[in-house]
Amino acid sequence: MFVDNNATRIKRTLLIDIARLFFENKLFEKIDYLPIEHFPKDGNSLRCCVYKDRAITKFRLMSNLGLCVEHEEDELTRLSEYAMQAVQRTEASEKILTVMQEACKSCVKANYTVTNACQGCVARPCTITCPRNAITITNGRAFIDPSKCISCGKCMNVCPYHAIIYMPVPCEESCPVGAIYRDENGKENIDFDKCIYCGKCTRACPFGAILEVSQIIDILKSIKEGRKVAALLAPAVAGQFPGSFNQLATALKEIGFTYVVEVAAGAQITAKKETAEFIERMKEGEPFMTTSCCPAYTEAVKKHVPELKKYVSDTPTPLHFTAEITKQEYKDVVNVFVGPCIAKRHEGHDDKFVDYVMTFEELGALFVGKGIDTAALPESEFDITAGRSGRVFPLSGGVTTAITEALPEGFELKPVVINGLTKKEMKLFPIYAKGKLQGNFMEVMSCEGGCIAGPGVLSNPKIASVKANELAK
Amino acid sequence: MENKKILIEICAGTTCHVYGSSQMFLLEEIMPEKLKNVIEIEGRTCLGFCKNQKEFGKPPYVKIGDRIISEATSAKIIEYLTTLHNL
Repeated sequence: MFVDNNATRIKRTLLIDIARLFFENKLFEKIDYLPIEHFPKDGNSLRCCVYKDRAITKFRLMSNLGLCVEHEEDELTRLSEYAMQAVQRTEASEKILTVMQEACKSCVKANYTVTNACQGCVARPCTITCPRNAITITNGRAFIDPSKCISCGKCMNVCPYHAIIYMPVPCEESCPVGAIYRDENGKENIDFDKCIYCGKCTRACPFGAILEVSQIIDILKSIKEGRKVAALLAPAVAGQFPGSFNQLATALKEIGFTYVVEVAAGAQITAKKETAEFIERMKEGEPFMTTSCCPAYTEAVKKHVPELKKYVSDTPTPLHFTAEITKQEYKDVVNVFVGPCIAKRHEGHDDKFVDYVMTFEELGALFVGKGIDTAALPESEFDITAGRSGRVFPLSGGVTTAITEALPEGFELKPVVINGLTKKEMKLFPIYAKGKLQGNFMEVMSCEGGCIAGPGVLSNPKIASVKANELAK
Repeated sequence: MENKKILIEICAGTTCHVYGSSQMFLLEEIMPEKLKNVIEIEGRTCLGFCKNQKEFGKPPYVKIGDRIISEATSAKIIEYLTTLHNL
């Protein structure tokens, strides 16, 4: 889900701004000026006018401060007041995603529209084929009445000029579980009873209207207060930052982290225990076992395919084991998971050993905000390090590889690898739950390509996968 | 004329990286055939332009000869090469 577009660049700019102001001790003093600095009154606007851009920038900054857009009750509340609230809270928000309805374009009302390629022909197959009489000829051209259209697409298929096109609603289209719906005002909302926190919508929206609720302020505050803070670095980090793996350890310490830990260490434990669990389940005659390490997938099972739950491995995730080891090793440590994942925020919230979660994108913003160039630093050692079986986890097929390698003779793993969760896969899960899987092991990764293609990555997965494979040698 | 290749220096400093410079390292994949033979792509440690954004514009940066391309994309690089170098 690597995305490089102006929406992500704007998002990163504002994350960097917040980090920079925090490090310079100027957050309260300067934050109110940020929307104006980015959209000066004689400058270019991205929307109708700079004033709207400024209002939207304010909401973006709120989410970077860890506040939901819905948090705003009084529109006159300044960002500096929100920043104060952010710094004073003792617990990060439970919310993970928030929709900025002011930025939502309400895309299209019907998925099909007639383009100017329409010739207003005599045959007019579109008007005859439409099952709802939604198409009329106005000014010599076909017109689809969006209030009647049911988005069946029959008109598009019969148009001899290919003049009717399909227009998606990108957020709704990206959501594998149908959690995004349009309200009576035409604005999009997330139904959190359905949401699996996969984060696909945040990257799909071309207006950047779906925001993550960040915890960077909570993390920076813990560091500033002089607490011992550990960065638990996901193995998907390979290739995410310039320089070597060990230069990155130094960079994290420059930010102020006390300890730097490889989550691959916990992944090794997961691989070992999951292998043992697999053998156990096979002995008991179960048809198959499926993985537990992708938090978006396990949430999807919980909320949408509960009948699959009994086949999901009970083995805790690599993050859980790593966080537990770190808490045992270092007394009173604050555990911060750093990874490519948005759903991990939800997992982190439910895990007593995990205090905060941030993405590589956010870590990148902290580096830039503090003026750290990772490739220019000396190398240093990780405080807790790991080996190969843990480092293959972030690639699609990686968990399967780790378990295959750990499996003793006499047991055969017949894997089915689901590389990316889509609406189509969601429809297949209930069938698999009836025992109709062509294999005895199902690995599921919500992101196509695995964690290295998660929503919070900075590098093109093509490059990152090469680095992740190198690291796992 | 001297048969010297045009050097494309892509800044791989942390700032440029955060702004998506990694994408440009796949530039060769989308480069038109006729350009491939006359260019050379190199990654560079931080070129320092991000320290002076008023003068150089916004990251990521790519340097081709004396020209600094700000807010660089693969498409901008190709456009620059095809128009200004008449390649």
